[in-house]
Amino acid sequence: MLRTQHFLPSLVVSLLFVFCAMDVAQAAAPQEYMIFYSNNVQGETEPCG
Amino acid sequence: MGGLSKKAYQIKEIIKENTAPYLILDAGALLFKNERLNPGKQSQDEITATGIVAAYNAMNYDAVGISRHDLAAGLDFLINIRDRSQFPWLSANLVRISTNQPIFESSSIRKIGDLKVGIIGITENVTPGTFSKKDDAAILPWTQILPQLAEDLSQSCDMVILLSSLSATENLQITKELTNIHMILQAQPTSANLNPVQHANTLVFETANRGKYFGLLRFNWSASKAWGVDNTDSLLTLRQNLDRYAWQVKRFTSKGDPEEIFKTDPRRLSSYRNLVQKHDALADEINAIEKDIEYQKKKGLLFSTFANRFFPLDISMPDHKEVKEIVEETKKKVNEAGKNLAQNVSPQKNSEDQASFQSNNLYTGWKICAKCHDQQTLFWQKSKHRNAYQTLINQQQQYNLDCLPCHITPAYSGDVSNALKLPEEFLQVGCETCHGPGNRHSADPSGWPLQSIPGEIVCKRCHTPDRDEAFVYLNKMKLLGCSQAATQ
Repeated sequence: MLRTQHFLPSLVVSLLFVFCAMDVAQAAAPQEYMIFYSNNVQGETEPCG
Repeated sequence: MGGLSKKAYQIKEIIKENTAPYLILDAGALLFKNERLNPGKQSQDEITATGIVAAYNAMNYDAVGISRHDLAAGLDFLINIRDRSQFPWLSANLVRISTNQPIFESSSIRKIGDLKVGIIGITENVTPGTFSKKDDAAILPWTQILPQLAEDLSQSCDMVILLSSLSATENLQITKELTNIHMILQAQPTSANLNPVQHANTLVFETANRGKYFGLLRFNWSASKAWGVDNTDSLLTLRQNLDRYAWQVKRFTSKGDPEEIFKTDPRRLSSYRNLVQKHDALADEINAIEKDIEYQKKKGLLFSTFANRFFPLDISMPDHKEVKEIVEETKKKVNEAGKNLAQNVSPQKNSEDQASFQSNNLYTGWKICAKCHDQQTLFWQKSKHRNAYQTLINQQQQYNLDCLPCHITPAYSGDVSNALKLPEEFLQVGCETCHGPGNRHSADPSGWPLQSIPGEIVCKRCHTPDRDEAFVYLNKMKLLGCSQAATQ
């Protein structure tokens, strides 16, 4: 009983620590963005055949 | 030549494999090939344009710029198209004359991830006559509109993108004058892709025309809001070069001090000194770059970096199901419209255009040619040219005026709808497609000789790089030797 009482708070604290560390790591990595682009499609849908 | 359903499929797959937030943009010249439509095929072009917009809706485009080509069917048509679009059509400088207010949205703000992006559209000038008096419309010079708009957006957004159909020279001027615009996606007709080029703090880029490619720009955007080059790779190359120089210097110094050893050999001494000079200069350069990177890291001034890739769209690629259905439906409607049009076109014998048809019967048809040129006719009948029209029938596109001119005998330079009701002897790529109109020749062969071997320009009317990338005139002429057949 005593062990469980000690174990649970430790687990919660450890998990919080891990999540915080992950957040920090994520924040440190530069965020990548993507732009798909096109121009001058000029009425093309697909080849005639 | 591209394919919307191929593009949609590729984009969907890339999005599936990546978690990065994204935008899908088009700089314009989306709907039509030319600034003026061929009167005979306007209805078909409008159906195609409507189909393209439905496909773009399905692909969730974020914004499309307006180019003068998009106004080819008239301002009212584009307004109608805008009302069917689930994305904004942007033009800050296409305005009502009476109110001086933009007719379409000037700009649009999109949030991708944590990034707030302002997108502006600017339209190139149109040729006189594009707008009717009733349109009450004009294109204002970008200098009147863009500076203030870019300034406003740069205050409220992290990044500003311009969709521009202006000329490359004007876009370059914008990069010099408006450093708060970070990207310019151009819509200038070009047969080649243009990788992003950095001018001041703006990237300028575009894809080749006619939808043969789409581009994907990956980037990270730092607080500095400044583009830079990731020096990691180039630093590696420089270090390798430095190692090479160091090794060469070592060869000179291995037997003692070269200044002493080569005292009497000025040529070798000069080589040694040159080498040392290059080595030291490169070492200094590397040192400076390393210090620069270190400084930027300390100050948090890391540049924003980018990587670009173009994706070719090939007919063998898989299709996006929904977009494919839209394209097929559009093609069906185009063919149907052509069929209806054909019922109103008077039967044509042949023509370069309507006027010349009335004054001259230029073409005669392959059956008349066969009377004298039986060997050549036998050869031609086994060729793909003979079945060119049949391939359109197989695809139910025989009334599609975008396709038809390259699948029949006469050449059309005027109203192409005249091609819709030709007699059977012209419904193939026949003798006269390559050798020229033969009616006079059939009456007076020696008085009206025809070109026995067609020039490259004749073939390339249809075998354009867009349609037939592998076409090499000399190779094809060896395969298509009607005249050789006659002499055998």
